[in-house]
Amino acid sequence: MDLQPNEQQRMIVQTVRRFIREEIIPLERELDPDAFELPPEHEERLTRKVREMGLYGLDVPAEFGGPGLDTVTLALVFEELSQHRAGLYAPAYGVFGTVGLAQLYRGTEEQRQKYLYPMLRGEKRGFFALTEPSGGSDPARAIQTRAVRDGDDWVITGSKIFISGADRADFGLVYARTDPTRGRQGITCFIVETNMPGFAIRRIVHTLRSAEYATEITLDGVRVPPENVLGEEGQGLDIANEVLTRNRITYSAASLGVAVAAQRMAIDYAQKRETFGAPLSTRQAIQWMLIDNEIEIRSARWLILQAADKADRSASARDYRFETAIAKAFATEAAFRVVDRAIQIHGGYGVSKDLPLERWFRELRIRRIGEGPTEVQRLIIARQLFSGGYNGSLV
Amino acid sequence: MLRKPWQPFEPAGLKAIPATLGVYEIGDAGGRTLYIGYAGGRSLFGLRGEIARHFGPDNPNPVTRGQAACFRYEVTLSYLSRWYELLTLYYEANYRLPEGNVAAGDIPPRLGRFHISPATGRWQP
Repeated sequence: MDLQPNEQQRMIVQTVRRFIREEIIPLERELDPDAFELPPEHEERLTRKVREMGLYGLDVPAEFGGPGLDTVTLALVFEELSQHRAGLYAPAYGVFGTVGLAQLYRGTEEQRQKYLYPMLRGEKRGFFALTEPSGGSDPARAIQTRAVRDGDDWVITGSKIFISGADRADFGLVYARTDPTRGRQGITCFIVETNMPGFAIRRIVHTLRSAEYATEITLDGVRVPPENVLGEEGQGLDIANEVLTRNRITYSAASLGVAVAAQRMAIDYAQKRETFGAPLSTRQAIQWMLIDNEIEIRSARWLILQAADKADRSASARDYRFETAIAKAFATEAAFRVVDRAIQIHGGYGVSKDLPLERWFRELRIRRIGEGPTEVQRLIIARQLFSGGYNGSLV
Repeated sequence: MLRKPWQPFEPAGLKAIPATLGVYEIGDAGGRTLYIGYAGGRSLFGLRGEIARHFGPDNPNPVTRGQAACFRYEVTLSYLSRWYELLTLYYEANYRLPEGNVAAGDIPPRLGRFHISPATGRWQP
């Protein structure tokens, strides 16, 4: 058991940290406080630089041309990547490449050629459409979008909501019910191209994210060929969950990164700001806020790393769902509290757009819902606790 | 589009425009949209400052300079996503972007389902 990062991990983390501090943050100072993309010339320049560093496509496995980082290293990297104003939802403004739709790794070679590889090269964009107006946390029951066979093809009818990037995408993964009698085994994943007749962006859904938005899409008799079924018929949710579970680790790590950045700002400000003749840092009320922040940050980090380590040792997402649920629930809730306290310490400046804290606060509020809300993570934890043979020790 | 009536610009009425975050449109005398913009976190005096800029003597935008006659606005914290939405809606209705946006280069790198050429404001497949 080794609780220290190895040399390679240190080197990668330090490289990413330097990149964020020297390349992203100075550039970010010139952008609108809610910006989520770089001007094209900077995006191209920085993407080229990341490629030269060998870190493009961070989350892409080595066999698909990525650096093939293990999940622990990835968690450490995401903690660094998010430490700037747009870092939660646009870490490094995307110049480290897209995480992409990892479900496509399980596609046929033809599907990979047509969708996965162009996406990894940045030539095509994809979206992920699971959530519907009827719900997102319990897709096995909530999905009402239907796919019905017509000859060899499938015809999809329904709608999806809170879908990011659909209006800019070339294709997407759409989950539809193919057998209403089989519950979760009746959901199938389809690759739907956005220029297929019947596909439409119904509206933009504005959220707390302000700059980035979600969309509502409609599928009105969209005809999809059989070769666009991803995986086996009825296995849609298995494919989704495998990736969603792993994504929650980096999602948690990015939330933690923002908490670390907020804590750094709060400590710095507390030492400089004087009230009634003494720095804030000498006030016990402020010290305790910073102490609570530190306890939560360190707790979150170890929970995330434990989940990541378990993921690296597991064959299936089912094996580390429990640890991931604990990490996601705790890290996102803790990060929200940390940023809230940091805002309190900064006073009026904390809620102004002069500082990144107000953006982090808004976006962390969404983090507590996105990728499975805290309550669903608790449901997963409870299921495991009551599954029999509870062993609360590490060994 | 913004579902609000156009207001003629009167320098004396400038203070009635809120200095908040939001989106706005600048129109010509015939009510044709010349420019769609936003007042963001770095805008001095928010909507008031941004709108006034198009009617001032130092207006650098060659389209709104001289042609701008009226405006309308919407106060919103989601100014960037609303701006994207307004530009997308305008494009869908007109198959081009407002001339003032094209002239100033005030166009997002990627707009909705469309890819806009900064030079022409038209869709490029």
